[in-house]
Amino acid sequence: MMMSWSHLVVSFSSYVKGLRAHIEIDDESTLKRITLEAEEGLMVGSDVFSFRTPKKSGQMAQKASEAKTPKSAAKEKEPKTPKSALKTPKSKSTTPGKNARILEDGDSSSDNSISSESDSDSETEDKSTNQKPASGRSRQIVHGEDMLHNYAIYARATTNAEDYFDLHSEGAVTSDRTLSKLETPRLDHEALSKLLKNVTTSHPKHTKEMLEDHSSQFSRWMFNMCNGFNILLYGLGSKRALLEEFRKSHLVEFNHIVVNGYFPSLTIKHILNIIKEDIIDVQDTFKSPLDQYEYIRKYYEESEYEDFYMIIHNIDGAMLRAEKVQNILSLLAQIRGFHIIASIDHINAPLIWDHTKCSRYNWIWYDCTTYISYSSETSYENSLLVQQSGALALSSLTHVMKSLTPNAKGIFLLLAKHQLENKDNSTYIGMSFHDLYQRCRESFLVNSDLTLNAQLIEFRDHKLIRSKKSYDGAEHLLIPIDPATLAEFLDQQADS
Amino acid sequence: MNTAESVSKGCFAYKGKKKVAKPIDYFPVKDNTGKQRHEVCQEMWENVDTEIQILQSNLNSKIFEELLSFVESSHKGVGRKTLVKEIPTAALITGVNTPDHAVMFNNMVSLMKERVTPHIATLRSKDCPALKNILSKTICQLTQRPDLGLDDEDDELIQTVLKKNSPCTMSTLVNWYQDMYSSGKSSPKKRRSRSGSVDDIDYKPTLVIVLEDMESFSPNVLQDFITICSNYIEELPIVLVFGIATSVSAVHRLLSNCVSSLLCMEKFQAPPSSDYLTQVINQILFTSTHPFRLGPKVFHLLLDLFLYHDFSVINFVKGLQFCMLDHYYSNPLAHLCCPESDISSTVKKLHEADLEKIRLLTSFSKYVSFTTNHNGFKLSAFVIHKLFWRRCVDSCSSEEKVTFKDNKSMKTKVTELLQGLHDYHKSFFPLMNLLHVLVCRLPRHPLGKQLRELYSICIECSLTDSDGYKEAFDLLRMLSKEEMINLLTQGIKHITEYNLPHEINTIPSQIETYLQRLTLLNAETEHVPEEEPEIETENLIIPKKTDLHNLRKTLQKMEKQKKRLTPYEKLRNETLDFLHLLFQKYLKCPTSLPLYELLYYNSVSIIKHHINAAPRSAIQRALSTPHQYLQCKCCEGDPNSILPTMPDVCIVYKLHLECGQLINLYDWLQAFMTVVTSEDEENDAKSKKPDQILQARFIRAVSELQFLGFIKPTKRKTDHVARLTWGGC
Repeated sequence: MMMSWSHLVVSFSSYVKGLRAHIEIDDESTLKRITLEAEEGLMVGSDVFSFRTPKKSGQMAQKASEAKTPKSAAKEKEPKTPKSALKTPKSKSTTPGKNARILEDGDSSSDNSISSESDSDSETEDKSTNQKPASGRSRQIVHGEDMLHNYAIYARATTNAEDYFDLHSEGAVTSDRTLSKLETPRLDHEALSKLLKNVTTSHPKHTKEMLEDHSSQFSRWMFNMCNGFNILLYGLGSKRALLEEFRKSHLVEFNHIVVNGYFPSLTIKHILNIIKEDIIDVQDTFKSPLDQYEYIRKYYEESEYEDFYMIIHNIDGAMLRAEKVQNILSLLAQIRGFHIIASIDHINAPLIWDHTKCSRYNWIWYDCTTYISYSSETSYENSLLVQQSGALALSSLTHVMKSLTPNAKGIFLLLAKHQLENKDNSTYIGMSFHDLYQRCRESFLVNSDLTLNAQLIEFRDHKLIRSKKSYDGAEHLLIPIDPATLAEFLDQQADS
Repeated sequence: MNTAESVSKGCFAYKGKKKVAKPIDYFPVKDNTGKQRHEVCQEMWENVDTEIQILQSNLNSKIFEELLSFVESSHKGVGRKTLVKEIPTAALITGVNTPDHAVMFNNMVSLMKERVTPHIATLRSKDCPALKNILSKTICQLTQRPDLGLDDEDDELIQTVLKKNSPCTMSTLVNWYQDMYSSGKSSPKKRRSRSGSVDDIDYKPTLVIVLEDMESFSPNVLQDFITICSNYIEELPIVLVFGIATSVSAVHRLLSNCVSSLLCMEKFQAPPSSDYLTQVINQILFTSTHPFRLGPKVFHLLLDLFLYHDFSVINFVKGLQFCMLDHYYSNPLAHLCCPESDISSTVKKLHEADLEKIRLLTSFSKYVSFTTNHNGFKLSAFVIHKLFWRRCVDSCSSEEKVTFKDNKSMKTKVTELLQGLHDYHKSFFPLMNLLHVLVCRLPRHPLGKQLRELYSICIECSLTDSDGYKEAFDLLRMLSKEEMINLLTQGIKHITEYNLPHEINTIPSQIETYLQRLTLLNAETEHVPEEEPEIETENLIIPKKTDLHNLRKTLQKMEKQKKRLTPYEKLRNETLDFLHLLFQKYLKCPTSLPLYELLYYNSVSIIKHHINAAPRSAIQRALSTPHQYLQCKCCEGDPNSILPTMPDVCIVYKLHLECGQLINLYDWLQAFMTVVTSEDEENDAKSKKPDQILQARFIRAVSELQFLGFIKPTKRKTDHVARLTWGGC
């Protein structure tokens, strides 16, 4: 094990070396691109992908208390770091799109200012005054300097590759405090939304302005889509409301569908079915999604030209990430008259497309940073440690219950009650099969262990129970739901 | 209907009445030029598009020709002598530009259908995860009976087979083939008539199976498939075509020895996509027929995307299309970017407001101030170089200030200037080509190997001032005579290919005279050098006694004298000076010309954001420097600092940057509360907000970070989350 690990490290570092050599070969072009990006005030790759030395615990608290220091002190600190101030982009506009326009207008002037600044940094005073009338040559020199500077950044980013292993070789250095120290360790979904209702969002005016900015682009989106491109929105903040507004203002007159990519049980079949049944209006069934796609394609390409719009909120949603799904979606995007307008939020979202799919989608990207909270997108998220409300689990439980026979219901309730009775028993591993069988017989729910087994298989298929073998080999059955939810479920069942 | 939080459905359909969206409806028609611009835009794009399509179909014609003849002949000459017959296989090396392949294969298949055989099956790895899929797809397509299709599940396979009564196996295919083409039975009549020239009895069309992305097929499936095919090769004239993106060795890597020995492969190399790109650029951008041009930065960016991302010409063309659409969409004067013949009519239709916009163009106002300042002056030597300027200056009357204010004369001026731009392009490209011929083989390629590199230098800055150009000319001054003659002849050949405008149509003949003189020099060279040795010997005398300083001086002198030029060198310099003047005159930087903004599209950041976007850096930027997006004063400051005014998610994000792999939720929450409440304390902490609300805000922010993919829940430690990124602030 150790051997293979060290081997891996060696091969990785040789890979890094190779990379570096590669960088040296075409460093000129790389540098050019870096400078291009730096000019625009975008984040350079090293900002996004750098490693940092491992921190001690308590760093966060320290940082937080830094923020606590009075503002005046913070302001004093600012002029001490002129370099970072220089690096921050000059134009502060809401969207990079706007940013771009400003840069374009004042292209030469901003170049000049950069040159004079970097000159005064490194060169003597008189030289910088000489160079101020920016002829092509002096600009080039300055660019060269910028390049060197950026190269330093770049080199730092690459040499730090070993830091990855440093970071991972150490154990986590975090404190052992847990959330149970809080008064209300866990809030459920409802309480959460109730609490958040009263919270005012920060910068309401600014976000509204941003939204207006984005909605002024609507006709541009339509124009792009008419010319065969598809629209992809990215940037921080929920883009639901924006897309909904776009739908209401521009798409109502056309056939269109809305897909919630973040919906936890969405499948590609749903999307294809809804196109087939609600838009094309046929009830045929198809064996595979590909056949269905083929049918839709034929329908659209053989009839008269017709526009059709698909709004996909979160095309990078958990259920749409699969390669097969993206394949079909990208094929749909190619059908004549089909237009997709989608949004992405995950930072690694573009990884779901390879070159072929990207080119099929034919995206035009729009930065639509809104800072609106992802309320509906995260509402389904059950996994976060803080919430764990079990609301969804409960709803699915009641859902399944409705479809069960009275006897099956009885078996499940029996099991649930038994589990609740033992909720304080930390060694409880479930009800043994034999116990359950006995009790079921007593209440005339089953007449043989075979029927009970058949019933349990059904529960297991719905993931309502989990079975465990105890040390003596007997099977124990457990409902994998926390006691609070289970109690609520039993209350509900008692009511109905 | 609220579509946001439905628990039962993920998609919703809406029906509308309208069928077709017209792009004109979405064009900004507020300013009166909108409609016109849109028309010009469509016309221009259609021109470009048709030209690209023609290029595309011509591009692979040679390789397709070879491939077709291979497919045709593969089953003819070979008798049945050998014991194990190999499957004739064409390995088509397509290159890594996968997005372009679909079009290429479509072209190939349609060509093959037309000329060689009606029976072609195209397989993609995505449709064929298992052997039964590959077989059914093949047989369906070859027999052109889609009803034989079957699904993934095995039992369904049996059902369909039983129902349809025609199992999807190779023997079905054999039977079908024998039915159609067996020598005993008469083949269908239409088949005969079509193949009239071919020997009727022996006419047996080949069955072509194209595997578009051979490398992505699972090796086992492929091996089985090939083995099966080879078993039936006696009955069925099968030909395989592999589309291979990397190299032929992929076949041997994928297939075991015994399987690859069943193939008789022939390699066909499709031309590399960079060739195709060169053609597209030369045809579309380096001609004066299309008025629309890419500015230096945009051109550079699109090229970079091509060379460093995907090698896909289709994507390049799409970028070009987007540039063009955006040019006409966002530039209110873009309709002036029209074919030469339409200039005067378009200018005539200009409104007062449009003229005002023209007056505001930076290049135009520069031009105006230039002409007004220089009109009274004698033409200095400096101006002579800028011949274009001079022409403009000449044409300006003394009252040009009035001219630029009066609408009518302004219109004539604009027409003139636009015409000037078109003329400039007409002479620009032949001369650029000439220069390229001269410099493309120089050592170290000071002006680039490709025409496009030279072009990007030309449009970026003044060419003759660039270092590369100077270096190139220094190198040219060292050429031997043979090389020089060779280059000049080539140059003449290239430049005469163009339809030269009147102004420069004497250039070839002028170069020709230089060339003649060069060749004539042959005889003279013998005589002339005789004079020189005398002079040289005169000075070669080195005083016997001398100090180092003097010696150095004399040596330097001698060095200078040695440099006395031979007649050839004189002539070479003369020629090069002539050429240099030409280049200086005609290869000016377009950005120095008035009204260039109308034809050149140079908003590189728009292209960058819309075509080559970086979503992750945008998100991270929004999180770490929210004031840049929000444009608020309250969040401004050092990017590392955390301010309580920032949106919650930004604060939480910045705090999490301080952590290693794992984050303690409790500590995180406490830190968050410290930051957020710090402001309240400053305001005397009237009423400390109840913790629950802060907790709720924290929960929301954390779940948003989870949604964005920065953290994920973990079970390694209670109440901890794991970080998924390693970036610092």
